[in-house]
Amino acid sequence: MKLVLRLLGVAALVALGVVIYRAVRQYREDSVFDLGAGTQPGTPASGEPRSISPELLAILADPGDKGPVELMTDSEGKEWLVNRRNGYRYPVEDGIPIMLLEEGEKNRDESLIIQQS
Amino acid sequence: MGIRNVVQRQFGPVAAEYAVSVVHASGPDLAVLVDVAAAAGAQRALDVGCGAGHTALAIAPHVASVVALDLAEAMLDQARHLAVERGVTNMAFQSGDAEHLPFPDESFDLVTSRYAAHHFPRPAVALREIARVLRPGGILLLVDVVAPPEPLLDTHLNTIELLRDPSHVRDHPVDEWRRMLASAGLYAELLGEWPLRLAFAPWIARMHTPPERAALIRAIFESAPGEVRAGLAIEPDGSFSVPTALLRGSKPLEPRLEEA
Repeated sequence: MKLVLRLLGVAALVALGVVIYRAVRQYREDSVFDLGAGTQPGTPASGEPRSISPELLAILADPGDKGPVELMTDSEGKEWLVNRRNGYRYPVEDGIPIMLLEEGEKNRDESLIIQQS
Repeated sequence: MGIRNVVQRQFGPVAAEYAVSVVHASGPDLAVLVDVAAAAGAQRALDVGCGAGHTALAIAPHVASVVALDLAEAMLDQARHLAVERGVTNMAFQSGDAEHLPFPDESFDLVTSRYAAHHFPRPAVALREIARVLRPGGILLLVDVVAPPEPLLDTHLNTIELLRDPSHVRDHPVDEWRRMLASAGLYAELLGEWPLRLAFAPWIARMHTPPERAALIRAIFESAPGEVRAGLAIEPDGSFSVPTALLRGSKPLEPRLEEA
């Protein structure tokens, strides 16, 4: 019984190692893509690219303070609408902005705050 | 879990039912709403609580652009699917909350909301938000199931609605809507009232109401006083009729604009 458990433990460690190695390799590949001009990692492979329309972007505001939001793409290619005053980030899911306060708060990134002069 | 989560959870699995719902895709109220919207000559429109997008799709040909907004992402997927199917290209899709609209002041000429307001947890707050995003002179066209003015019928209607749909908040009587529109700073007018017959089986099926709750609704119908049976036109199979209303809330022009 002990032998079986020990073998399982070793197998789990090996699997974990493989997962980490793959994640690191994937991240490096993605980073290379980030440098390519005009590449859109967020574009779904299936059909037409679903990006947020410029018209909608022009009238979108933060649901809390009603101030402007900025379209930003993170290192994984995911689009966010960011309130630079409080760091709230609203996800864009398949081209649809999720402008819900609880989403913005949940995904808040304080490092994106720009202090108003 | 808050009421917003209940709405999202409730409408996730049933979104597809609403894309094909005849009650939602057509109706005399929708025809009048579209006429009034077209006559208003609106450019920028917003549909709050768009559901499967039927109302936004109906007004899309009469405006420059329409934003379809809903709390439930699954509904927005249905709405976008229908728009693509019908070749409608001037629609944008947006997840958002009626009480916290993600738009600056005075962004729209026209706001519509059809069969959605009975889900608003604080309708007075939502109406103030709608009034805020309307430009002066802009209009809100609001359609919903309304409670009959008699408290007895009101109680029965809202009870069966809540049994059917846990995300139901309240069908308000027309007078309550008038008051709420007025306190939001909108000039309220009743443009029309129509009875809406709801066939029991599809009404229950559309919302995936569990059988024990459907049975409770039937039990309430069976023990209902004569006034309720007559007022809601309850039929032997449980089908019944509810009053619906179309109200217009107009945002007054600012004094300085009237002088100019």
